[in-house]
Amino acid sequence: METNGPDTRGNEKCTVLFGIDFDGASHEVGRGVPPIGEQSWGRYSARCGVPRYLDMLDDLDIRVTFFIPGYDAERHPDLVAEIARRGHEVAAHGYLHEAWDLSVDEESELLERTDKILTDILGEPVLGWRSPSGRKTSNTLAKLKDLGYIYDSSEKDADAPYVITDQAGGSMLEIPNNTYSLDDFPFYKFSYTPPSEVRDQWRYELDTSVAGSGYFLLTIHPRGGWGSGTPSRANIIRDLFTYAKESDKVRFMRMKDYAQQHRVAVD
Amino acid sequence: MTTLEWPGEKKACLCVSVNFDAEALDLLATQEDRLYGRYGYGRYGATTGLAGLLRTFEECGITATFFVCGSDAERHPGAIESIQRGGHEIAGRGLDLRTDWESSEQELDAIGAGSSILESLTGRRPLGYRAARDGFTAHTLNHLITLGYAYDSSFQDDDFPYVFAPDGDKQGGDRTLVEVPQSHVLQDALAFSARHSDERVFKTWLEEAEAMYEYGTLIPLTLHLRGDVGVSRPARLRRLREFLNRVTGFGSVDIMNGEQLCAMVQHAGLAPEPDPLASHRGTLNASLYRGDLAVSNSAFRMV
Repeated sequence: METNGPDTRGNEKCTVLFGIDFDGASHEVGRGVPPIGEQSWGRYSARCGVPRYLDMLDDLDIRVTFFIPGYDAERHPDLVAEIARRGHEVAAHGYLHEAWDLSVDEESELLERTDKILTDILGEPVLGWRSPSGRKTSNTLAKLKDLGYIYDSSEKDADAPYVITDQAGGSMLEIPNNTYSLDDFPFYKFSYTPPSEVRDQWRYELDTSVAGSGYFLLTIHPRGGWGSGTPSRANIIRDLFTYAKESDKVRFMRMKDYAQQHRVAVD
Repeated sequence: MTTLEWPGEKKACLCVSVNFDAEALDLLATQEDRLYGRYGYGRYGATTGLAGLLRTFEECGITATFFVCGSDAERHPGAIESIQRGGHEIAGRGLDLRTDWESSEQELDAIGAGSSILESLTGRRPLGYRAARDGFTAHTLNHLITLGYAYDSSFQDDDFPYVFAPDGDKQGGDRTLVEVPQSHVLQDALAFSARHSDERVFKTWLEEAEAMYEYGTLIPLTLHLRGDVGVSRPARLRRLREFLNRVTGFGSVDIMNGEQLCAMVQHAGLAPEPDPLASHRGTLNASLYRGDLAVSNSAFRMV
């Protein structure tokens, strides 16, 4: 197939990919910050945020992708299994949410470690990875390919998925994201924007994708603090997806299903 | 998710707390002989702002908790007296909002000194504690138990109060502490620090309070007394009054302050949870301290 990515022309529906970055206490512990007092926001993910989203997604009848750091999965294996049992995809997201540059060797070891933690819990292979903070090495994709992954969701350089090639000449699907516009973190960590205004912005983004690229990827974090686990910020996701479901031009997919569907373009 | 039934079959519970944070906060940036001009916002709250805030609480039927550090309490004994006269709780906030302790003993001493000053002014030991920003350490929970505290209100990790059983030096007995968590959304200082209009801040609060009511959670509102990032200026008090009346008007909202919530949780007999650092100590000891990476990101410095 002569294409550099999935051909969205002629697609009747816009694909909505919803990524929930679990980001529990790993986010603080990895930076050497004890997850206590005001820094306890990561604890909210397992205690309240993830259960809230699981119930909401059941109500909406939508299956999505959870990116989970290995360290958090070690501490909450039952919840990770429950996420999978409810029909969602579990994908990898670093070990201690490493938001700093790693050497090739360090990175390889951490990718293997998290992959083993998740596959031991799930009893099936993990197929996708998202870099915590978007950092990669020149070796990342080849290592993921070795581990059997079929997609990466870390790049910021396109509006729609495309085939990405690693230095060894292998290829996989790239499912790009944007952490300035389509992520909860900038709005709630830096600008403290009222949730209803964030909802309206994302609705505008969705409408633009439906009319244009045919692809809409949103990322949230079910933690407290700057995350979207807490009530009003969770409810705008419910509002947004209720709105999306009213359209016959939108379909929700887990990222691995999307990647599998487009594997022909990769292999 | 911790589940707790609100008394009287109420659907949700409003808990209002005020971080007094007067000159002690300004003194983190300047010295005693320079508390003028730009360093007067703390004094504004303790002198000018307090009366209006207490009147607002009275009008809205709110019994609140005021977290006051020892040095501010010593500077403003009259304020402490009027807060008490209003029926509100005075709770601990350490000695002076400083957190540059070199040992856990220094932290213990500071929290203890703050408690003693409050006790000498109010006639009772404080039951509740809220750490200054970044002032919660691996030892704090144990210090609080040692000093006779019954609850902490520094975490932001749950929709409901719960109970800790901290790891400690096993002095015998059941060492537990109630946690009354705060919400990151329902706070004045962060949003006002980002220079939002008052209208936008209160819009955010109302959206969160309405959603919390839907889920039947604790509705924990954290206020500051100060004239810069706090709520005690007249125009903000007008909006606060409107907000509190909206929340209490949701229909089935209980109102409790920290010590009332603590007593309720103790009575509910929840199973204590393990020390929050129990499963993290080894990794923390092996981790390099990197601080808040997002803030030091060069892309954000550019804008």
